[in-house]
Amino acid sequence: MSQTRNFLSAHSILVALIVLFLVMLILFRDKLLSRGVLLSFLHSCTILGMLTVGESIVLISGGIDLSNGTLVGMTSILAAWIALQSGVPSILVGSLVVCLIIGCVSSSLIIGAGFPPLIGTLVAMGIAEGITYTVTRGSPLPLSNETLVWLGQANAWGIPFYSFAWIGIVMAAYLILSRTTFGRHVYSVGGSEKFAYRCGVNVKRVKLAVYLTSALLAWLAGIVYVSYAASGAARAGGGGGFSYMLDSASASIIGGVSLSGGRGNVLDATLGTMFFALLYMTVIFLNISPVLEGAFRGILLLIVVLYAYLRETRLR
Amino acid sequence: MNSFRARAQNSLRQYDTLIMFLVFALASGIITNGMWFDPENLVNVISRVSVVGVLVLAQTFVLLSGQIDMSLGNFLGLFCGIYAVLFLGGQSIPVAFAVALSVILCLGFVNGILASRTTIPSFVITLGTMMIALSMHLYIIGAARYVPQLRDLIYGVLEPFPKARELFPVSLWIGAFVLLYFVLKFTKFGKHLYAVGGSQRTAIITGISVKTVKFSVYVLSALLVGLASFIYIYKFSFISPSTGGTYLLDSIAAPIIGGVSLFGGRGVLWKALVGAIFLETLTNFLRLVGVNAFVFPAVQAAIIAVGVIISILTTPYYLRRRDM
Repeated sequence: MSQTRNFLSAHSILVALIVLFLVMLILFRDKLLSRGVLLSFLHSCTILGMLTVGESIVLISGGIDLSNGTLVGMTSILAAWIALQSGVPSILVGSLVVCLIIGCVSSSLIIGAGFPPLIGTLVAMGIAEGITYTVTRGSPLPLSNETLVWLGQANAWGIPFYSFAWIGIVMAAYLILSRTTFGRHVYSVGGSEKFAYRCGVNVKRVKLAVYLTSALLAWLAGIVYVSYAASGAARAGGGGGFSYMLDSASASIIGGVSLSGGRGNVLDATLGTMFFALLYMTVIFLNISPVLEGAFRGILLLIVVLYAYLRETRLR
Repeated sequence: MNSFRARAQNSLRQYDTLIMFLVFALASGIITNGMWFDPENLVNVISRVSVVGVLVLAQTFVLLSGQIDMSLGNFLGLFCGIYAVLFLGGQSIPVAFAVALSVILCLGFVNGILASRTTIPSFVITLGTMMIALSMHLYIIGAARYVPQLRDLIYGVLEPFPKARELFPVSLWIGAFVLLYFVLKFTKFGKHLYAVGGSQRTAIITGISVKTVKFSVYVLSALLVGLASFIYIYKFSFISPSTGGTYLLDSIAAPIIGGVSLFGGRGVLWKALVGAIFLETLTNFLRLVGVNAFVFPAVQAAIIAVGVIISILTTPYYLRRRDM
């Protein structure tokens, strides 16, 4: 009996995912299992999943990244803009460089100047927003590069290429966090920065790596977004760049990553992503206005952090 | 000699924001060939600040208590949206205002209760309510709306004093400032606010009701959003889906420039307001010089960065907390 209870509390997100899936199967049986719906589910999982991996690594290290959603929009716009003049390599390299520079800005503010992560990444967000709107003045930009558009639609056995990349990233991140020295260091910095420092962990390097990883994954998500949608949008995901950020943070938290750092793992956070992507399907099935999705998102975030708070106070 | 130097240093530190602002104002006046000093432009700047100024009062109170409010700007948007839709739907002005204010107060209660009863970081909570307010606003407003009736009404009342039109919002703003200044300086609540922001643990040991302080700060912030929305509707009369979004960065940047500590418990109200005027002057200057308006968020972000660096350098190490 207590064994079952232990299993349930250790894998609560898995159980929640299965329950949600069964409920939705009963409610929307004929809609859920169609090919188009499953594909769009996979697609939103891929973008959100990449962001969630980055966000959960940052959260585990005790920080938070507010800029990743805005970086997705910026990458998509930059990619579409560079595609007007040149080919795939310069699209990828150009947008990657800008993303990494912004990652460097936020991490150097946080590490070097001692900003709270919230403000450091908010500044990075403002800069990314400025770049985005300078390029497009707010309107979406179609992607004219055929190779990228093809790549966005390419699939093997019905599963998009990008989803394989996502699964690979999740596996790699899981192995790095749980099996390498660096991974241990991320957990120790999140648990207590002071102790990590006293134990000889290079705290600054760990933090730099963590924020750069998040920027890198946001870049990748932006490339996936632009090639799948075949157009760049400043507000990819809507809501002033906060939507993807909120979703990735909520998905990590519901997957057991602690807001105060040092706890959680990427696999459960990924299950959290799937839980969220599935939950958003209900918004589509119920024909709720897409504008109201934001309210749904905000309420979910509050419920999730409240749940996490109760969970953590019980742990202590 | 020594004491003179110490006194000079001290007063320099006390008025740093003001001096910074005056130097900048002088420089921008020279660069724009005196265009900036045009009385019309000055009145314009001051009366434009009044919306942000009220929001900055709210944000300063929240920051002093050691928390942060990310939802202010979008609360203002939602307030204006509800007012516009109800008013155009045939309700009277007071009814529209009352409904809008009660909705915003409800959201403020949610902020306050979660922030005071749990240890969830306040920015996460207010990010959630911000998202709710933003999407509710987008949902109800649909398209941009024009509601000049409130302005016309007040113009009618102010008929004999044509100059008062521009000064009316400024006087509301200054009135709120004076009131809150006295609250901060002379009431128990003000002292408690600084105590809670300075060190929550010490405040609890001293017997201060930390929960009450943390809660009431968010209620006050919702009320001030009501005032700011009133000014916004009076001044701009034009409510669009993007109303309010830009105030998020503004309301955080201004107190930080004004030396209000991000770590809570340190800061002065009037300096935060100078910060707000400074910010508006800068925007005005960029506009006069002809900088692309889309670059403004980046400029604001850079200003926040500079302000935070100063704020961190002036906060003793043991007072810095990392949970924000």
